[in-house]
Amino acid sequence: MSIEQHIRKFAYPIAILFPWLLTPIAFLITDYLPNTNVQLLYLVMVVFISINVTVELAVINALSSFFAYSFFFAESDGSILIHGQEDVLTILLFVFSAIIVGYVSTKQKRNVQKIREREFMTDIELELLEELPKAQNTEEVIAAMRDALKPWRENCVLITDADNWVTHPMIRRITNLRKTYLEELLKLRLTPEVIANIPDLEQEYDVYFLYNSQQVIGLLRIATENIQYLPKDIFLLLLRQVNISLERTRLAADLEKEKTAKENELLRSALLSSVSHDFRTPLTTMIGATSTVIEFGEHLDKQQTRELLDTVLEEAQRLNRYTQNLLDMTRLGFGQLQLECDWVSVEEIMGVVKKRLRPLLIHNFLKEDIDPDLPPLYVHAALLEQAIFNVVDNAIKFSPVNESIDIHCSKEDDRMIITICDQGTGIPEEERQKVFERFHTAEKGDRRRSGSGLGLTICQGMIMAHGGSVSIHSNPKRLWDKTNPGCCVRIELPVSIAIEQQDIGKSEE
Amino acid sequence: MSKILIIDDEPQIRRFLQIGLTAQGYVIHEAENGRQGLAMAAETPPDLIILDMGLPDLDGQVVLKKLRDFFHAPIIVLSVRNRESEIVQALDTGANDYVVKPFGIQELLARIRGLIKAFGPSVETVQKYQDERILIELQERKLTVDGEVIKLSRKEFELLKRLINNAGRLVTQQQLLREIWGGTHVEDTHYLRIFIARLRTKLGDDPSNPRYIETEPGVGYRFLPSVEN
Repeated sequence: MSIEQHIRKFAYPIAILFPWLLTPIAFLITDYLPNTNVQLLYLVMVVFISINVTVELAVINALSSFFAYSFFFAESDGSILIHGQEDVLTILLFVFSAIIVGYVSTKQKRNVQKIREREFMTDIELELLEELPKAQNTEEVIAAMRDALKPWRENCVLITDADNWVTHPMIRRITNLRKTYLEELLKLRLTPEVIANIPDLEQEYDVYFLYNSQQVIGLLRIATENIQYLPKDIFLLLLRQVNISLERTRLAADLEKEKTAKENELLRSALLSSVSHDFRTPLTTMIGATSTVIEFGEHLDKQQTRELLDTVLEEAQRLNRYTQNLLDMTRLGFGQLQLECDWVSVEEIMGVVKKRLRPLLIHNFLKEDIDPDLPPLYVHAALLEQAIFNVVDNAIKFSPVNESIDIHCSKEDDRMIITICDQGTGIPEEERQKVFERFHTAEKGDRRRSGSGLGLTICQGMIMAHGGSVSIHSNPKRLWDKTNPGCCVRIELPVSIAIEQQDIGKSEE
Repeated sequence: MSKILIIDDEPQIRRFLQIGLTAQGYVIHEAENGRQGLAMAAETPPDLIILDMGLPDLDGQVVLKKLRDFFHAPIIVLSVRNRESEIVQALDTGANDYVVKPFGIQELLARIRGLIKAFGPSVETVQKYQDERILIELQERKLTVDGEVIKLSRKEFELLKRLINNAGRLVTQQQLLREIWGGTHVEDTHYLRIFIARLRTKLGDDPSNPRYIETEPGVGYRFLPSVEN
């Protein structure tokens, strides 16, 4: 126990005995200063004690002091009884002093206490006010409120829709309301009239409402009878702040929903227009070419027929690539991309990519630079091939005739870096993020050699599914050329440690 | 005159295959669903079956399994892209090779030719492979590259032997692992990769420009026949 608690235990005895214990000091003083007003000495002590104890104890002390004084210093020594009218005055003065000082002191202390409580309350409110703007949604607002209520958690409960009534002991303990009433209150649909009525409801059910302009979010029940200090005005201010935040988060959520709906709408129309165009174009060529061969077959020479049929094959393959892109895009969009990873070397991937690119590499050629001794990748090979294929396909579309497309593979720290650089028209800095958006094409209209606009989106999706990243940079080898600065697409993939090295010893011979 | 049975529900695909393959001298029979295909294969066994995995009545894998109960000549399956697990499963169940739709006739023809030759009556295990750079003598277990004799470890040799004996045809990872390392190692594809890498180095084969060994990631490997083929 602290000293304070010790003293409190012995409060009464101390109040009574203190003057008697002080008396020897009084004697000492009177020995040196014979004309001292001893009464004043005792009075000072009474005042001193009154400052620190309750009024009751102060009075007791005052009386005890008088008797001590009377016993030791009054006219007839050795008696504690009241003798003359001066004694009556003395005792009254002692007692009055005790009462006045005691009262004032107690009042002062109460005020200080009140101020401290308000300070405490304000601290909580300040903390809450700091947290509330950070809340991104309704749940976070409620959580902040719960945090703020922690000091009183024994005596208050915040009920929301999400709470499990049956197992919540607090709700049962301090709410004398039936569960059904509370449920009904929580389900209230709010209109301006109902909202105006809320203070009455709060009064009636003895709960505080937490709400936004559409619905009730929670009910707050505080057992104020058990809480000594709760400056109501500050508390109500707090509640109002919470309600404002609840409305804010509701508006934010609505805005988000609208944004998403709009985005989906835009995407849908972009998809429709893309399919409509990118299917029709090759089909037009195919139908045109084949119907020509059918109609005029006998009048065409072998070369012309061959040319038309080549075109049909080319366009059909283009249509095939586009269909594949669409499928990939849809799967990526629905998160249905299931990775079936296996170990494969970068060289093997490049081999397959080059094979698939052969029919497209008519006016351009690939320059390959793969660092030796690169570790194997743990990836879904077909997806990585498609990603790289799309990038090179893109590069071909924008490369001038007879220029190379450079592919470089290396390892940096724990990442595998594959860079594909072209010598073409390049991508300006402002566009470098946008090219990854769905259906972003460099040119509009029927001359869209840039394709469906899905290639880079798919590439990014597939690489990111592996935990990697794709970015666009300037071609460092062509910074001097303003017309054809070219660009580099940089693919980064994480490299997992191949555990095979130690195993391989066992599998020898 | 080799007989080929085509089991595919798409009449247009059957038509163009019939035209193309007949022009190459094959005799074509057609079935438009799984049950019909099984019946025809049992009645008049062909020399090769082309089986589409997307049949209307029975799942392609089921038809494949039932076929393998009584039919032991080569089967090529037609599959859709991005269905690698389906392809691997088919190869495991007994298909010999696969082609992904849409495909050109040349690709299919190459596979057909290779398989019919391998399973034909005059089949003998390959003893020797030679081109301007390398000479592989399986009997002597000798590999000579640019005049220099290169030593092969036992497993490397086993690997090369199987690839060459199936030149032009797909050999699955599982088959190689099972036969060379044993049934318990069928999942250890990293062993296979390392040995293929060693073989490639010894043959002087660049994996990004494969001349001899081609990888089909996730599925298996193919030894590429010499250019004259």
